[in-house]
Amino acid sequence: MEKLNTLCIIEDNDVTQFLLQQMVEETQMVKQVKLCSNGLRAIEYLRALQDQPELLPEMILLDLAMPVMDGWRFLEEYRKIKPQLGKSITIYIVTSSIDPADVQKAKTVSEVADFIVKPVTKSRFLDLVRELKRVV
Amino acid sequence: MTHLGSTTDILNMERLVDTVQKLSLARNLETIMQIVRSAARKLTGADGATFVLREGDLCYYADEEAISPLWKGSRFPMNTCISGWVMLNKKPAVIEDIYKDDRIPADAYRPTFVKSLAMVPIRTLEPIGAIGNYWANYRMPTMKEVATLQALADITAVSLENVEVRIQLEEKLEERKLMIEQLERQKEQLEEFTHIIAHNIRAPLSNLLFLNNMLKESASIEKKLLYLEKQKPVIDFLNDTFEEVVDAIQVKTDFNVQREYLDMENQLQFVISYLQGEILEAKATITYDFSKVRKVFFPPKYLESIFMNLLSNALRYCSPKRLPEIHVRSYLKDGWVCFEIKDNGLGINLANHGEQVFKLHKTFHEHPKAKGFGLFITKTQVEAVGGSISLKSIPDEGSIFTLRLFKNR
Repeated sequence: MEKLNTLCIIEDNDVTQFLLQQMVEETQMVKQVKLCSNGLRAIEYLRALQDQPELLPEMILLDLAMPVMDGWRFLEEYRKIKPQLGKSITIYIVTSSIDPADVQKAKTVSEVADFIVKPVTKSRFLDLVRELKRVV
Repeated sequence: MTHLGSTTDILNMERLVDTVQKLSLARNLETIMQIVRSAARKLTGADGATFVLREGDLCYYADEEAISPLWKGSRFPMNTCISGWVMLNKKPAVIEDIYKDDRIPADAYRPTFVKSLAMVPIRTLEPIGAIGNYWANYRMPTMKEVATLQALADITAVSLENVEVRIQLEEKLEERKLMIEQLERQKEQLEEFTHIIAHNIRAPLSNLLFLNNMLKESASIEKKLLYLEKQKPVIDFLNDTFEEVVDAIQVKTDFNVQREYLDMENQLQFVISYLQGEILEAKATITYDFSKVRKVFFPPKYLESIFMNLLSNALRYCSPKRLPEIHVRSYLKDGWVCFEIKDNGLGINLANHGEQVFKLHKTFHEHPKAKGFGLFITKTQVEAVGGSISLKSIPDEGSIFTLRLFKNR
């Protein structure tokens, strides 16, 4: 199976960051992981690469509860810059929230491919990569 | 040929009907007495009318309307005055010359204009009061006058009972309203704790599950050891969260928390001295003004915690662009002792985070010490004793926290 070039993880909790990174590494399906500790950092990162679409991530794992800019606000901001990004990015919400209101809200955001409740297992992540490669 | 009655009869009938309509709209005793005393006088053309209420063994002259003062506000024993006789005997008293009637305490009448009177009981079966009519000349009140007066008294009885029922209903309604308010507060609390379970407890728990998964799936011993080590901070965090929730529950369920009259200035000075290190480090200027109101009736442990949290927040989230200036003041508003802390710090974008500010583990700035507990517990403490907290803030200009601590009576 073809590997992902870049995966972006937007997550404020450093333990979760570390674990997601470890999990992804163990699958050996991602060449490079970019960590952003909140939505604002991620928007800045995406903006900086808007003229080099080949460097932009193919997939984003997005946490919801974060300081400075949370996942929902990131999605609003992302929608604004999306036309300038020369690449279609698949976004998954990865959250520990089991609040039905969050799931419901995620369904209304067209930019979100799916809503995944933590923890993300290796096999689940491999499914996501497979799905992405199939669509592309 | 039918007898239509005199013009006075028709006029009186109209007056009585008008009175019935007015009484049907009356919502309290005062209004009823006002309507009745004036109707009583007009219906018979008397020189004075009184409205007497039974208070146990006393007759209370509650209201009157007359050419000169009678006994308004006075109380007489049932067995010494004519209204008492009327109530005890459950029938009208009609007297042409009061000074010739031994039911009348003449001494009480001598200072007044009264020469003759008619008195009827309110609610004949079990009188609760009486209506009196008085004349300044000697005359025998007619049967018609007494009958009209009795009709008025009967209507009055119905109106009084209506008011009584209404007052009871309103009390019940008020009781229900309070119950519903309490239920709503409890529902909010339940939702808040559900939220805490769904987010705050669930977050470290999912990390533990994640770690456990990785432990199981990882092939290398080194990795397994690494994952085992990583469990420690997560377990600590889960434990901290648990203790925070327990703290909050204790505040919420401590209905008998001890309150005292506290000096807010002393309390603030204590907190300032406690935070002296942080204040010096931030080069902060703190000013305060407690001249409007200094004392507050409040649980000491909450007040200290509130001052500590708000002041250390103001110091922590100061702007790197300017030296921190913090002003604290107290004042009275709508009977509330209010406390306000104003800073020129980073501020919070309330349009984006408005409802989040006081929630557990919500943080808004990338500060290493930010835990998202201070404002959560502050709100919990203030609300537990019936107060409230609100925030005005402009990003990069500063914040004003306003607390309603205690309602003065």
